[in-house]
Amino acid sequence: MNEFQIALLIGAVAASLLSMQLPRAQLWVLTMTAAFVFPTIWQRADLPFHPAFTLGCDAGVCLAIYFFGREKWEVGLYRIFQASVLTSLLFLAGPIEVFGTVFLMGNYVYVAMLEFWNWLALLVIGGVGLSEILKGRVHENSSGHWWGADLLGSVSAWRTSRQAQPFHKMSK
Amino acid sequence: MIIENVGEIIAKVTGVIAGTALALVFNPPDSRRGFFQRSFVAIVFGLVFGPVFIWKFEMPMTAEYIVVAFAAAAFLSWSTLSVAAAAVEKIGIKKDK
Repeated sequence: MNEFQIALLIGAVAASLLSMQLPRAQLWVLTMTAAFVFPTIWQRADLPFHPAFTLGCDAGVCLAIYFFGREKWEVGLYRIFQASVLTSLLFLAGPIEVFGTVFLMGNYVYVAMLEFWNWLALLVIGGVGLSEILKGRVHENSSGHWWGADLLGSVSAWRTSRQAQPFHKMSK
Repeated sequence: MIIENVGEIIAKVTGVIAGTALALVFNPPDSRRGFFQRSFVAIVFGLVFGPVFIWKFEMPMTAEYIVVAFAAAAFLSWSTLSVAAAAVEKIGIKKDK
């Protein structure tokens, strides 16, 4: 394992610890870790179609969040994984020519973008978990107005239920 | 010969399923009926227009390219149906106003 992968795993553990009181967040961290570890093993084993396998794993996480996610922050996670799938798709597509200009995603850019999306997802999970911890503390000793209360108020809006339900829960 | 054909069929089916799953990731339907409609259209049109993609983009008949062509056809069919449904709904809302 290289230092980036170790850092990401430490980040996953940190996000998991911060969101101890959110069982579904734990589940998503576990799913994300699996979607990160399996493609890494695949690549290390020098098996073919590595980006396609990564794409498949990310798409699996995306669909799992779509079907089982209940709150707004989970919809945010779903969007992040959509971006990750799109990144793998663009890398797989190879050179893309638009009005004479050729765009080609290099391997370094591809890996960096995947890392970015993973960190962003961990930040969302960790942020929601942290806001829950802080909210509990604020309610315990609520004396006067605290500047962070507004921020916590906006973050706790992420904990409300999602607007668009998955299709299998719709009546028609 | 039979094994070759089986391989080709597996590649086509894999492509269509992959394209449909990808379309579901990027463009989920609003209802179960929408899901079944889109899936049916993506599978049928994916199988019909997959060879058109291979011919149009002059792809070699290898398993990878067959998967890509059929996935692209299925994905585009699903997405086109989603866009058409959204457009019809929008026109309907405008008429109601």
